[in-house]
Amino acid sequence: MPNHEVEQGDCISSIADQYGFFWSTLWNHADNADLKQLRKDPNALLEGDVVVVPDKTVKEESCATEQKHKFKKKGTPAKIKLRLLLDDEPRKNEPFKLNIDGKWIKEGKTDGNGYLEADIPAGAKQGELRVGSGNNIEIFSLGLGTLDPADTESGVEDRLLGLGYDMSAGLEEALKAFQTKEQLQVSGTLDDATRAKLKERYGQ
Amino acid sequence: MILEAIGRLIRGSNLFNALNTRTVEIVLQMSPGKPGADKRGIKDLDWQVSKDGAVIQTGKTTDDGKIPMRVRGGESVLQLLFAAAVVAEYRVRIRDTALDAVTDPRGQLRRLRILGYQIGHSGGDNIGVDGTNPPPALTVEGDRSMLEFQTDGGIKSTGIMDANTRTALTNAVGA
Repeated sequence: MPNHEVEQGDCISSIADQYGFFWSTLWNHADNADLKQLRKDPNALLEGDVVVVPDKTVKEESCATEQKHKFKKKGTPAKIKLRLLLDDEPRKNEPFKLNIDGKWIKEGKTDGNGYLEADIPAGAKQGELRVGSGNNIEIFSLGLGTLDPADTESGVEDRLLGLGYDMSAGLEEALKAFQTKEQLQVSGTLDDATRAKLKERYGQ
Repeated sequence: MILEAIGRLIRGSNLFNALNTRTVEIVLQMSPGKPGADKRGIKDLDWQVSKDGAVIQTGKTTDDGKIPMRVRGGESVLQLLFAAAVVAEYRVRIRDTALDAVTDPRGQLRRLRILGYQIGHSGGDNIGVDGTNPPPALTVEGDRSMLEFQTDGGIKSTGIMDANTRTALTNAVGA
């Protein structure tokens, strides 16, 4: 039974895909109960986490000889869901184009609340998102699977950066700015209320 | 190149990743002073904004020299172009903390700099050119930047940071 040590860019979907499992099989496996307890959310694992990959079981099918039989491999693609904001206001009905690992996979418009969603291969690593039209195009480079869990310091920084806060003066100052804007108690420390608000605003 | 950290999600998840872009209005002027006055803006200048080496926005300044610059993750780079070549570059960082008070010499200095006044030494040796001098000695009183600001604003050019001048300074910067 191999163990998979999580690297930056891994997520439960990409690990499952690599070993030929459904993500839920790994996540709900008894040997991963501790990890599940620790991270709670299968979407965000931290570099260094260990996912136990169970041995594969053999499924037997009896088939008649001299005939063609079709077997379909079931796959569960992952997805990304983004919410685009401009000065904290949703960017509604904005045209976008999404490139995943070198292939343009989706073109469309954000919805009325600024959301866009796309199925992506579970192991997809990099994305490029182009928003806008004509001469007014904004480009986002996406590091897929690189968001750290919300209860780690790097995960908090990732979220603050995503929301547009300046991290150059350090985490404490950025937290103060966030707390001021959200009308929370301005402590510069990551208390429960701040953490909850940050998850709500960032979306996970 | 630094990438936006994005979580891949399992299907059926209701989570998302917010990507908030913030705009800062930059005004390019030919001479210092309050934006919008006396047609100081530099118009029709090509510009681009880049983030971690990738261009994220392009445009041309308006008649009043304005650029609605988009900043992500707290910091982006503004480049001015002439004949398609980069001729000037500014790192622009969004500061969420308030400016120092206008009653504080540091706050006065910063506002004068924002308005484009050059800080000089005409008023004595106690002027912190970039605010790095020890605080007790720091003053902008008598500095040429102050005299110019007062002249431009139609205030009596005394070099003294009186209440009138402080109000004018706050209004000109808008903060």
